[in-house]
Amino acid sequence: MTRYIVKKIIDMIITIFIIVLIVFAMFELIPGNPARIMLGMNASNAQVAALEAELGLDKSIFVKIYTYFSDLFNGDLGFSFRFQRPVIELITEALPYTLFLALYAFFFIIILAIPLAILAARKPNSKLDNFIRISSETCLAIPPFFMAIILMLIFRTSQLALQGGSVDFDLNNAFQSYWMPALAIALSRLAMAMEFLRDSIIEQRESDYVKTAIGKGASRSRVMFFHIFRNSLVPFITALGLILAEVFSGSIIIEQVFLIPGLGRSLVTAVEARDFQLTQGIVLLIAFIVVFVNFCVDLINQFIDPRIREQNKKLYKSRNTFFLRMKNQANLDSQKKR
Amino acid sequence: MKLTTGKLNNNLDQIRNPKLKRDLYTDSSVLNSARKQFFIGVILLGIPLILYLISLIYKPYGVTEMNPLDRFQGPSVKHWFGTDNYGRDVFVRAMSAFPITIFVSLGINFIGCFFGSIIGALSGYFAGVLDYIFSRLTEALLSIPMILMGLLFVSSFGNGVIQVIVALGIMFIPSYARIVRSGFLEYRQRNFVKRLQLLGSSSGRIIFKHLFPLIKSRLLSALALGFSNAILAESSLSFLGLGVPTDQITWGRMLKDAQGFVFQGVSAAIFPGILIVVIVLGSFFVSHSFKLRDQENKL
Repeated sequence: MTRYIVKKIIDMIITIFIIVLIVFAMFELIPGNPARIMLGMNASNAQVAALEAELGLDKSIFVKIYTYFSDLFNGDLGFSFRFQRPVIELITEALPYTLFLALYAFFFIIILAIPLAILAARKPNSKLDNFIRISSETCLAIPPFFMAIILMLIFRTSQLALQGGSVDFDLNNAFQSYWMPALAIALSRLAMAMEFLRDSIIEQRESDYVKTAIGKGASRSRVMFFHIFRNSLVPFITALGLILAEVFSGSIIIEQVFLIPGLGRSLVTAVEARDFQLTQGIVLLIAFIVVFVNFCVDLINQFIDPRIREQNKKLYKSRNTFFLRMKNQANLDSQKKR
Repeated sequence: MKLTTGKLNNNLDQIRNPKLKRDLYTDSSVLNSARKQFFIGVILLGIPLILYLISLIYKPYGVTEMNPLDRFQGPSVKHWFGTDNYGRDVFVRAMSAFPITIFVSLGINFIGCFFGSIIGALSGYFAGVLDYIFSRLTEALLSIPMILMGLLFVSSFGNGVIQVIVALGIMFIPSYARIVRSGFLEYRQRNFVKRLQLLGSSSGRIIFKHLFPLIKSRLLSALALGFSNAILAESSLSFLGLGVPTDQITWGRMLKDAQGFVFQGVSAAIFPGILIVVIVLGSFFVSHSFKLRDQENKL
């Protein structure tokens, strides 16, 4: 078990390393002189040279990569030219809003997806099932910003939010002021989680242990919640981990619609002003969150489902070398149903 | 030939084993539903296309022609989709955005599918270390939300159609790679692959001549889905005002402009969105039908 966790952590570090490299490459590949772009056309050559020296643009690429990583390790994300403040300060200011919005959206996704999936799975391909699936697919086809516009038209409430942020998006009474943006994100991403849960409930219901439980006289609700639902949780939680990146995408756009002072708005301002360091900082932070949450999802699945635990134990036996493990993993994946 | 014999055996099994009779019944219903879904999808995709073809012939207003007296009109015979806050005709504007949307979406999917198929095929067929490296790469790309990658690209390379296509194309690689990889993993241990290897076929021949045709409908399904996702991503970027250049009209930008006047001019804020939804839903249906067909034709 510890072996498994250690190897997963190594995987996570490699993934993060690649992400940082991608983001670093973006900065390296900027056509022209980044310092010139940052300072604008009116800057003097001396100013540009000073900024180049400060950013370390005149050094070799290996030195640049090294300093980039060591700065990151020390929590230094650079300096924002647009706001004239350290990036880390700006991020810590804006992060709570985005995080709250994303969590609120997740709350809506969970409380809507579970009952809908159970309802839909009761009779596969019945009228109710088809209705639920088609309406959730339709919601999936609606981009989050259009969903926000539709919700505004339906509820006719956030007229004020449209005209310059008169609705207070303070975190004090957050549950009241944030429900509409959160619902807009949740509805447009609901279908993914729901389909996963519905399919796995249908799949689990056919299995032998469910028939045994019914044969032993367990009530319908008991079989549903204690046997089927518990085992369907694994794909559902995995799906939630996969949706996370999409929810962050959604919240960045929705913040723009409702003028919430979160990461999304700083990001758009940063991109418009070509403030590279702030852009990179926000992208890296969100990618780190996504990677970390998916790592946690793997661990949670271990604790929920003993079968996964056993499988991983076999796969990560101490005798297995890296190559053998990759081979076994491939074999396991090929046996898996699509 | 192989496919048909496989099917026959399957049917014989079903006749011998009464428990499997239900499958015999569902098989045809699956095909029927695939046909039905394909039909619905094509109709949904056809609506915007027909409207676009009409707009090529019937052009009552200019794209930027303002008409201050006709602001915030609802849909009527004069203005099919109503007018926006400057009195510009929404139908003409929305239709002028149709070709660029389709072009960007196709470009994104071409990049994603081309590189994704290569990466997926290599990592699925050879497995092992190559698979590990590629799966770390795809995992890294999947962890960056698509919009963020688009924004990062735009911040480095500036606004532009090519930038959007390349940035989002890169982000579409992992999803295609995953699909192709899972298909290849499924078939790589099969006897026919082993026999081909023993007969001395090269890996390239097995991959392109034997394995790719098997996952064709799966790839088509992914392409249809990717087409819709690309439209969603592109419209999100233009909604933020950072996708294609400002002088180019797109549905996302029209929605952004109309957003401030939602309650005065409903039609300007609704119709571009409906066009997005119709195209995306249409490709969802087409994608589903290919998926069902794939399950039906499984070897």
